[in-house]
Amino acid sequence: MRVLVCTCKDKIKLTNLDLGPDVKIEQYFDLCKEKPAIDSDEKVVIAGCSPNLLETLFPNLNCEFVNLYEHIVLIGHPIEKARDLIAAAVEKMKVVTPIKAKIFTIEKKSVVVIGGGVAAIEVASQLAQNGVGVDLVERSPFLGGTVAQLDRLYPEGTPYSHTLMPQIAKMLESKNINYYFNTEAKDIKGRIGNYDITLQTCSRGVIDCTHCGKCVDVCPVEVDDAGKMRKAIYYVPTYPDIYAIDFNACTKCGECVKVCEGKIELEDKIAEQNIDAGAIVIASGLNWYDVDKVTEYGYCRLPGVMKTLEFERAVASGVLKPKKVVIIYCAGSRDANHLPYCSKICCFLGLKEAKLVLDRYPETQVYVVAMDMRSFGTFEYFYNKLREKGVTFVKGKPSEVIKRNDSLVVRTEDLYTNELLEIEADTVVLSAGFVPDTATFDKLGIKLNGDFPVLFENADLGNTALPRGIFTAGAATFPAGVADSLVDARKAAFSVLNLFRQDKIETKQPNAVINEDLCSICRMCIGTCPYGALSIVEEKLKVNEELCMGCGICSITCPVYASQLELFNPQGLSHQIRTLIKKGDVLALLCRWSAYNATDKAAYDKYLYPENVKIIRVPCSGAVDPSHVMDAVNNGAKGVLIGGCYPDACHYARGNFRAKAREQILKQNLDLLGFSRDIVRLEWIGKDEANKFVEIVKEMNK
Amino acid sequence: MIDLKNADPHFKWEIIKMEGGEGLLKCFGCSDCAASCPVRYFDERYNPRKIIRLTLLGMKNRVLSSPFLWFCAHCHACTERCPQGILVAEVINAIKNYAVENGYCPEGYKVQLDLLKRLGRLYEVEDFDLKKRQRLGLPPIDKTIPEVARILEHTGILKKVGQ
Repeated sequence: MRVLVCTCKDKIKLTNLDLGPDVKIEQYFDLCKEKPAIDSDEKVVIAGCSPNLLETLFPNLNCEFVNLYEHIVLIGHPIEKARDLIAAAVEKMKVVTPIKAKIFTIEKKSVVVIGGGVAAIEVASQLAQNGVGVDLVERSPFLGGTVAQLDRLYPEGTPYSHTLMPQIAKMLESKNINYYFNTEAKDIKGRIGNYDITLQTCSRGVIDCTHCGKCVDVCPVEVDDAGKMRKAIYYVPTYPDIYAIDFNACTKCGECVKVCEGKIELEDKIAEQNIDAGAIVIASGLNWYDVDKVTEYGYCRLPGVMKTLEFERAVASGVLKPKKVVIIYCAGSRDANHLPYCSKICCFLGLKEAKLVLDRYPETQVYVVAMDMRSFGTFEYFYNKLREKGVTFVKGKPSEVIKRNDSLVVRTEDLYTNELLEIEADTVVLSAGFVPDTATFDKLGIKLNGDFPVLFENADLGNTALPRGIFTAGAATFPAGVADSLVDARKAAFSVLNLFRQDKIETKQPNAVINEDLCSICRMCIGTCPYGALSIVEEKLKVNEELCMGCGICSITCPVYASQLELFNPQGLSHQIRTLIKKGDVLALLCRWSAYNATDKAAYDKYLYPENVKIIRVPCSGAVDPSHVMDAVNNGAKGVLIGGCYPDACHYARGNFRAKAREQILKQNLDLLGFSRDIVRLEWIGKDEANKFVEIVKEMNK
Repeated sequence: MIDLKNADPHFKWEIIKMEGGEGLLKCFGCSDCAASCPVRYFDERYNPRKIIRLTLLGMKNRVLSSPFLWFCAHCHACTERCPQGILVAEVINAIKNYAVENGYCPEGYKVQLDLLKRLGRLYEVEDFDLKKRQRLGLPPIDKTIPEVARILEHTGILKKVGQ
């Protein structure tokens, strides 16, 4: 096996490195500049500076990196330690499964866009302009999504149609878009470059339309569509210019058929069809949080308590003329019992509603009760303008809304004066948070982290958890305003074009590989995979190469090690530990995403730690087996530190929780075997917490 | 005025170590607890948010010697609604326990403890009460319960309040 050692311009002064006859050691003065040829199938060990740097310089190789610069030279450890580290890496490389290149051919160069809101329209028109065939799949009978329900957009108060209609007009100019209304993606099969999507279309009711509008006049059924009344046969002024029947409300009385100048079929039919695509763009937008779960605010229980959308539609259409309005912010947001996150846009929606009602009825008294007003950037101007308009802002979180003498009373504390405050009002508006529409993610088998696709959690890490042919646009991954959605949609369109530029893509990201001879299909790994990448196909366990992100959790879960991560398997780690650890050492098994970076930082900031601390990089703290700790303990290790990301920050969604669960079992086993249970420690160490890492290892070394 | 020169930066960490005080640092001061508190509707000087805030600032002496600390009725309305999931009533309880351990026990509690130690009850049983029981056909009860004093001694509470 080749071992390439970089002296980093003579900063690393190596002594005699003799690792036996099988190991060929090559020394380079400056590996980054010299860039020796390495066969991508060959197993090598590269020793030099931090793997975080070397990985980018030598990608897609079957290699293990040894960090001599940060872990030895910078912190003044004796260079003899290098021999142990390299020898251990060689032992590991001997047994690991090499990476197989994964090639995905892109057969179909067309896109399915799921959704019909601003983001979906933008993606579709951008792609169609660039000659890509688009199938636009919209669940409702009309385009426009959430924006088409609004009266105006914040901050300027642009009417919704001024944004939406030019966009739709631009999209209609392109000929290579197919539209599917009243349609949902029922089933999605296939992989990048070749998806097979089954569409389920409900009938629209109106087949041929002259737009005379007589049907609406005769329809006897009134429907409350988010605060605005409409008939069961209705029209939204976007696209297409054909009326539609809401079959959930329609009584099939037949009045509309009698007066219709076109053709109406009152039969609720469901049709299915299949379409192909090379990539999927999910622009399914957001849903309002069920604010009736926040029982103390009395939504659904007290008349006069409404959501922002209902209020906006009711005021704009003239149905509601309030005298005194209280707008409650963060109804169910930033709340451990409801949505734990800030939905980012509801502060502006609340301000917009305040402005809307003041524009229409200037004598209205408006109170905004907010625990924090988050008007970032230029939106501060919007907030200032509303204070000048006479809106009273109260800081505090209301405890409840009650009914007293025919009016609603909002009970809160005014944090500015520190006194209890009761505001009587006729209308209470709840500025509720948002949850993304996750139906499509569920169909694709993309697991969600809380409410959001795992993608959101990892957005800044270059480690997206979406399969490679799936893109998202707009508010599908996190609540976003119109402007943000449009920018995001253009990014998604660009990514698709970039993908379709190639005929095939090749990646060498490590994946799990199943040894079918060993696998007994016990299904334990299927439950532990954070991405749902494992499934049983024809009585055999299969790994979905697009979904697998290479965390290695399944290989630890498998009782017989049948599932092995490429370049990292339990046996390899075991060999590495046994070679590396001598009596009295402290072993640190550190997550590559967080804790390992802290050791690099410790070297740069000169936080020194004892030389018997030996560090091994693992893909995830969840990829460490109790047996690995026992290996170290058998070799006489003084302590074993497992370092992972903070609980909410795991780059593989839930790997650190697995580690936490294993730690408990391990401690019990250590008790049984007569070791001290403090010998093993699981700690959450952030990227920048060099000091924490050093304090912990020093403590363990005592 | 809150003078941070008198603040004890370790105070909040000591409260967190107490049983029930764990969630203290999560507080972001939304005042939901203060607005929910039924005690506050009778006496506005009691304010759980203020107690937590002063604890976070480290105003140890001011929090512990305040008589309002002892107003909490433990109805847990605040615990129900806290958006950060803090067990507010438990935190107040932890501060109360800390206060007693550090010699800030209010006089009323001391009198009650004294009664418990002497009689084993919070009220005195007199001959009049026994006669009344006899008339109602109830068995007589002991005037004192010495076991309670032993329990109190065992818990060490008497030493803490200096009795």
